Amino acid sequence: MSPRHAAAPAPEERAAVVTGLGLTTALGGDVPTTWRALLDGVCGVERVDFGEPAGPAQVYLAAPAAVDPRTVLSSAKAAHCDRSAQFALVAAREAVRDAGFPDPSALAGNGSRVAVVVGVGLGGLTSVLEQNHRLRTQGAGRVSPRTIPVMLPNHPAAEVGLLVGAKAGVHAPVSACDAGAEALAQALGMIRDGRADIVVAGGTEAALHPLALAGFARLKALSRRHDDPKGASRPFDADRDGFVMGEGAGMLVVESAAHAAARGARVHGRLTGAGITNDSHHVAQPAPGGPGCAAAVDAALRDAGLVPEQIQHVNAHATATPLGDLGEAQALHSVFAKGVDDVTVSATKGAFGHTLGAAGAIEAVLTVLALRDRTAPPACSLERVDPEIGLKVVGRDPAALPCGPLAAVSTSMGFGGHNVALAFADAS
Amino acid sequence: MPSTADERQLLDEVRDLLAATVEDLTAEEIGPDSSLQDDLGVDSLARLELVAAIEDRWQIEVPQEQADRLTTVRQIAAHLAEAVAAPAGGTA
Repeated sequence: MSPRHAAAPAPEERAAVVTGLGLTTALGGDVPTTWRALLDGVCGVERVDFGEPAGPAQVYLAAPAAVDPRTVLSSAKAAHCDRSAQFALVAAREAVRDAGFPDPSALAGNGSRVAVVVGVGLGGLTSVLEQNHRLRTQGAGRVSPRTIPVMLPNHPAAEVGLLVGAKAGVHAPVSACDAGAEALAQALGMIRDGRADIVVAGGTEAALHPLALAGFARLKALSRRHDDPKGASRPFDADRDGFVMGEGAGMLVVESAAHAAARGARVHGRLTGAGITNDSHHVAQPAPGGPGCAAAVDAALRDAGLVPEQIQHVNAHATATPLGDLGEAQALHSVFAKGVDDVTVSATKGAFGHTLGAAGAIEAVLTVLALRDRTAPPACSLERVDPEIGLKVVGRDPAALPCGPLAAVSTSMGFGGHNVALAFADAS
Repeated sequence: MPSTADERQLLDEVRDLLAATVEDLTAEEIGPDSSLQDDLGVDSLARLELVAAIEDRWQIEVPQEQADRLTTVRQIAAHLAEAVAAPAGGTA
């Protein structure tokens, strides 16, 4: 379909469209279940029992996946993979099927150049800890031969690459809570550069382990609302006090417009721009005022050929930390200025918790769905928007997006000062 | 080749372990004399995992040079019958 020495396609043919979506989250094991539950205001946060002695410091809130990936994959495949790769495979299979390929290996048929970009935050943390336990209690001879492959941050990307036969490249951006969004930015670049016809791109995370929770708790990053799990993760709320960890994966099939048109693919939406910046301010705190986030949104809009007035919807990173949400809101005020009240802002981590490396990809899927269905998803736990935030944040009911052409931005920020903004447009 | 009840039980257990180790392979597809590599597609990493699973299950050590000589499920079961003092599932 894309001969090696063919003339370079015209720029519009190198535009990137989204032809497949996949999710596995605290609200459901696929896109339709997750999206319906999100619109219904379901919250996936609960108390999690790790089977350890109870104590004041060991009460954990989390948003575990609704469907155990081991019940979806073959037992041998599941046994070979860290849970982060299991999630990635489940979401990738759905996305590829949704794109019109019931058999994932058919993606690379007809000479199509297929690539994979899958980001992860904490990666194979739980597998590493399991094997470390075996090492210490049973000796080196009992450590699994799979230890190294599953602890590498490219493990989920490599597994998805094997699933779809991705010979045009397999990449794994590692940028903390930006990783899933950065994967999509890379996918957009690969389509535009003509390096691939189809890129399966997204993010995954499976780090609900007491060590990760304790580590975030020691950073004072987690909500301490232990007696109110459903109200604990409340982005942009006046009473927010930190995030709740979640897990899951989001995957998108990003395809060149020409390739999608040639095979008659259904298009969910368009990935029109990406902006990547870094605060270069602090390893774990956002720069005051959110200049890096604002610069990323500006860059994404320029990349998409849009001005701020053309954006109707933002899916905000908004993890529910006091400083992070404020900085992001200031960034959005700075970009959208007087038009900020015309932008409908969704903050969805109340339902899913913060899925770290998966978050940017899960929210990219939600942004495409919001444009497709002209519906901005609600915030299940929001009671009162912080007056300092001052955005038009969607409350507990979904909000209709206006008629006419739609465009949206999804923001992500991560430890290390990373900022990514992705620009999407509806399919028309 | 005749085999004892204990060896048959070991053979079934090894088949189950192998099916749990190799993707897209069911216990029913694993013949006792099938070649692990040529008939069942057990690659070098899967072989290492199978050995690790056997070592975990029976709490024994299978030296590499010994493992390399075991090319079928029946050979593995026969080796286990010798190596394991109390046969799997035994009540004595």
